[in-house]
Amino acid sequence: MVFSNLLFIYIFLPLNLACYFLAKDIKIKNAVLLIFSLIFYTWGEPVYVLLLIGMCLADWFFAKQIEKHRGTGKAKAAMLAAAVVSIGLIGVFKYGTFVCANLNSAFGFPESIPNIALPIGISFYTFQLLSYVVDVYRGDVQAQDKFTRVLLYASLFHQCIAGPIVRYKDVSEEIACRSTDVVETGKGINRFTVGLAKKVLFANVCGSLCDGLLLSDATANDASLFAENMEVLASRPALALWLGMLFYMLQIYLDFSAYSDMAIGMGQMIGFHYKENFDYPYMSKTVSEFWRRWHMSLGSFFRDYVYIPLGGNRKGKARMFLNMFVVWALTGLWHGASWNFVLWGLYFFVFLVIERLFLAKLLEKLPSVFSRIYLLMVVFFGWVIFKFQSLPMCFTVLKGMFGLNGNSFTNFEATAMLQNNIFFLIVAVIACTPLVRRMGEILSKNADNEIRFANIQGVLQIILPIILLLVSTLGLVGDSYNPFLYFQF
Amino acid sequence: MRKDKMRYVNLVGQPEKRWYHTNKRKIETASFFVVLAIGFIVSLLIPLRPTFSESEKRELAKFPEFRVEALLEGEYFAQIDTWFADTFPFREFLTNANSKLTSWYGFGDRVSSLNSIVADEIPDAPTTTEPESTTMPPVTDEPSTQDAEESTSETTEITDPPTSLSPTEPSTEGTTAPPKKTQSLGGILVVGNKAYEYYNFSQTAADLYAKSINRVAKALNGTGVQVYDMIVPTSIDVILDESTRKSVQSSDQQKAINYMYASMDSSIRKVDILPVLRSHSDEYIYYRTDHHWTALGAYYAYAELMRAKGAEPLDLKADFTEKSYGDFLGSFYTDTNKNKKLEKKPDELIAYVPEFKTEMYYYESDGDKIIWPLVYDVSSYPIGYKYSAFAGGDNKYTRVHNLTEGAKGSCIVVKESFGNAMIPFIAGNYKYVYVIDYRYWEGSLSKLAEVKGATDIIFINNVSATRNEILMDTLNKICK
Repeated sequence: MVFSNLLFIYIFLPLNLACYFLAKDIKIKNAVLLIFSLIFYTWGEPVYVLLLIGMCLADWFFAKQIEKHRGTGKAKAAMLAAAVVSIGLIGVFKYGTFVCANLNSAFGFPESIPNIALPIGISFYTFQLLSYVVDVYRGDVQAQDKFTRVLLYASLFHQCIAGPIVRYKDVSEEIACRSTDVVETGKGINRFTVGLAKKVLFANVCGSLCDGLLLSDATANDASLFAENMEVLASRPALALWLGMLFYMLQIYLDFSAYSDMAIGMGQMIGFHYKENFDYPYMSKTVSEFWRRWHMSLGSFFRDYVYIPLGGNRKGKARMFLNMFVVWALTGLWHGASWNFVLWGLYFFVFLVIERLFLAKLLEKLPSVFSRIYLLMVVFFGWVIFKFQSLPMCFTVLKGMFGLNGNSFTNFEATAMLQNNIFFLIVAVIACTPLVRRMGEILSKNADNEIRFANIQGVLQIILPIILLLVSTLGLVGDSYNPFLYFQF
Repeated sequence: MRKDKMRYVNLVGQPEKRWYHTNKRKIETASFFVVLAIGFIVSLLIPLRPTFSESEKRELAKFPEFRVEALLEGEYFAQIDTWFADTFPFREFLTNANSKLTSWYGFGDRVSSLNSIVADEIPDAPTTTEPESTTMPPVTDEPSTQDAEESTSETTEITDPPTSLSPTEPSTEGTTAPPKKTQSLGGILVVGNKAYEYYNFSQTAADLYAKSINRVAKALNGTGVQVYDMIVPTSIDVILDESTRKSVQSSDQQKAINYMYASMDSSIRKVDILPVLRSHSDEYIYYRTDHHWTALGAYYAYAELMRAKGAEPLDLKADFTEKSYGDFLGSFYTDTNKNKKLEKKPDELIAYVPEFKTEMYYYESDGDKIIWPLVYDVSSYPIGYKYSAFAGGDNKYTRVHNLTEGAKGSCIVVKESFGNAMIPFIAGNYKYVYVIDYRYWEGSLSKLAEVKGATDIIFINNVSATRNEILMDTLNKICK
């Protein structure tokens, strides 16, 4: 199940909240959450739910062993075993097909390539469990005695399938004991409905426009349609390609951050406080800033569990660049089992190195408009690599953007598409900036002093969540376009 | 504290604190939960859930039947999701509101879904192979005797004119089901309040089309049956103004039609109607919200067909009565997600009811024989179904009997839905018209012509069908 789904919004969520708030005791509240979470996951993966439970069981056990034998070789062995099991499982289920296909094309072995379906959310819950075991090993947090609590931590439907990657140490206390009040719940409702509207009213529309201007992911990744796809992309006018990629750039941020908003909001409704995952990344001025504001829970995971253990920047420049190379290759690979994702990660690595060497200093001296344009361009072309799993298609699009496919600048259809969606485009761009939030802040500041603003704020606060919920419902009825982008992750 | 008192001061300078300032979070939370609860209850009221969408002309998703296999594959739950969203209570109202919302996304009166199909170049002339050689039917394609027997038995059974039911009253059985959607459209272009369908020439499909017609002509060689072929252009090449037409990526239909005609055997009489239709382009000959032509458009094409046959066409004024069956919003409206500009100006379904008496029956796909008027008053039909006024809509086999004294001859019309609008006119020039919708009918056209003693076989196919390999493959199967 996904959040932007009518069954989730009108059946699952009301039942979940009702049961949760009717339960008096934290134990029962946790039991309610666990049961609902397992149903949620089973709805999408009726078989692989066993994989999730099994992985939790293994990591719960290893963490306990680490705690028990702290300081001895046995703890190290348990840590190693946890890493082997977790990374081994994600390796098989996420990268098995990819590795076999590459081995096959390089060495002709194995002869048949297994077709393993990717369990939803495996990249998110594996990383959560890994961080848990490592934190226990490092002594940052105590091992959890109760299996059900580890299971609840990893399977909690708020963040299980699309992040953020919540650290156990950040929520361990709230799992055992948490409280909420009407102000917190109200804030959670705001956050959830904003996320829902972002997903349904903006991300989905951007996605369908992008599909129309370029190709849908399903078509683009269908190897049997390769020749037709190349022909279609080569014939697209430059404007269609630029617009299509712009809508993709908007879609991927709005969609991903919307899931985080909804997760954070639902957590807040019941007293969980997950860390922020996106901080208006397109407002950044450098690539390194962008990655501190984009999918922050993933960036900090790689920083804390890969980059720093490898020595970070403490072992000389050469070693630092090597460490960065490893981190960005892994970051790319985490996004999907395909070379274009690795390339995408390394593409950012190159810019990060250049920034470290001289570019960051140079940009600082220039007016900020230059660094903003630089960042947006780097990210924009990065998404071209990200979007197309086939490199020839990626190059065709890049060439076409500059009219090098013998294509025209625009045609009737592309112009019409732009005209018909220009207001939407403007609003979607605004949705990627902190503008609306700033306006809200100004409003509440003034509300303290002037009754007019207090009235506006009061009314907005009451009706806005309901309006967002109802308008989002419009977009979901009739089972129209509503993709889940993170099957790859 | 002092500052607190200052907070809510109205213009008169009096402190003022309203109940919703202090309780706004409580109200927000409570009202949100109430809305969720209402949504919960409403979505569980199964009788409120629609099962059919009139505007989309389709059965909505059904609650899936439980299968262990589907459960394990994750299909079962996914189907429940689809059912839940597809049949949500007040669906029509909600989707309408959504399309209203979408209409605010931009300005401009031109909408186009970009084509993802690349058109083939249309060759100036057919490939050097002689048309003759392409008409040679492969040995394996010869109709087997079994086929022939089947089609004979199927058709002889129904040669007797029906007497049981009155010709003007529709039979009551099995006629309430609206016709199914039979053709999926390519890209759609909306200019102002008129919509058009893109056309992408497909060499393979066009060659297959010409080959099929050649094959049936070959099979009828020496029987005296004359084959006519009429490729019906779509509105984009007839109505759309020249400058816009040139700026969109849609293949040239006249060129495509010329190519297909040139690929056909010289014994086949080709009826080129595009120039005629263009000369009437300022008249109401195509619907604006549907991909079909109007009865008037079909009449001009019919007159051209009669000229090719050397017969006198009936007179639209003298031999027919013009009837209006009300507003019509067709396939373009549905496929543009209920475009508001189209909705604002719906089409009018105008039909020409023959003055001469006819009897018509058709067979439904399940074999039921239905007696039905040649032109039916569809005023009470849902707004999306009006095109079924003509010849009972799309049915695999239809027979029209002209009761006029002295009417003689019979013909077979092989068509998809464009042909329907022309049947009422053709009916006046024959005693019997056998209408075959090749998408549903199985058998052999030459055998049918023999059994029925038909003198003409008339192919009426819209150009959009001739780019569809699957359809052309189906047509090819009966062209023997």
